[in-house]
Amino acid sequence: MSHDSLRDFLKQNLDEIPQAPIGERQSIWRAIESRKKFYWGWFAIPVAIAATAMGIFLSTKESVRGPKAPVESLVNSEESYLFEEWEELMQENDMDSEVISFFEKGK
Amino acid sequence: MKDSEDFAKFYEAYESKVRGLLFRLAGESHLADLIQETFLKAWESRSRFRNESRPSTWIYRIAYNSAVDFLRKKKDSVSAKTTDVEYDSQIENELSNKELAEGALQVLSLEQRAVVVLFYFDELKLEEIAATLQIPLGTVKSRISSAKLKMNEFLKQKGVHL
Repeated sequence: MSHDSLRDFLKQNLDEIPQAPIGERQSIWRAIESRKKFYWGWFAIPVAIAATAMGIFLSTKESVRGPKAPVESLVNSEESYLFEEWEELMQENDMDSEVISFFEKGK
Repeated sequence: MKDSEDFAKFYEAYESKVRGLLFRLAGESHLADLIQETFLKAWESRSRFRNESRPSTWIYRIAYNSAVDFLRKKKDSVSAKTTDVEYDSQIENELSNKELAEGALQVLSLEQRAVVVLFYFDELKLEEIAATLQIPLGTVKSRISSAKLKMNEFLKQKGVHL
């Protein structure tokens, strides 16, 4: 049996290849387009979830720390504390000097 | 819009070749699905095509792989079909030439059938078949030879001498 005779036999007797159904190309193109949207969804949804989670995390972190004290008020409170301390020290000092002068007068 | 037009050209160029290969390999029942899958894969991976082979060879390979995947998944139904052919062989005298030709293809393994379709129907060169199926040239030759022997044996049993 030669290749040619086998080829002829098969070609003559096998079923004809069916014609493409009408609109097949368009339906394949629609499938390609919908798959593109599907892939885009797989990318966009996790990114959106991650962004939301990050937003929630950052806002929670800030609220746990509480509102930040302004630098000026911190400096002022430090200054007033030191001033009070200084006043008290000076008062003690004055009292001591009064006692000393009293005993000196007594001599 | 440009993409859609490019796809239309691509489809028109290869549709009949792809349909022929898939029809001979997997039959008509799932032909539309396999064609859609082949064109989807080809279109989505077109950026990876490097012109190292002909575009027809490349899309044939995608079609062949789609058919192989499909038939592996549907192995049970394929083996049931083979049983039908064996049953038919018992009533050999009633077989028409059409049934004989179909039977001759059905006795082949999928790998042999692919080589036969590309060699006898699409009249590809042996080197092109090797590139399409990604097998060595020697394997192509041995598959054609063993397929021819099997078909000859089947047809002789049915009283057909070519």
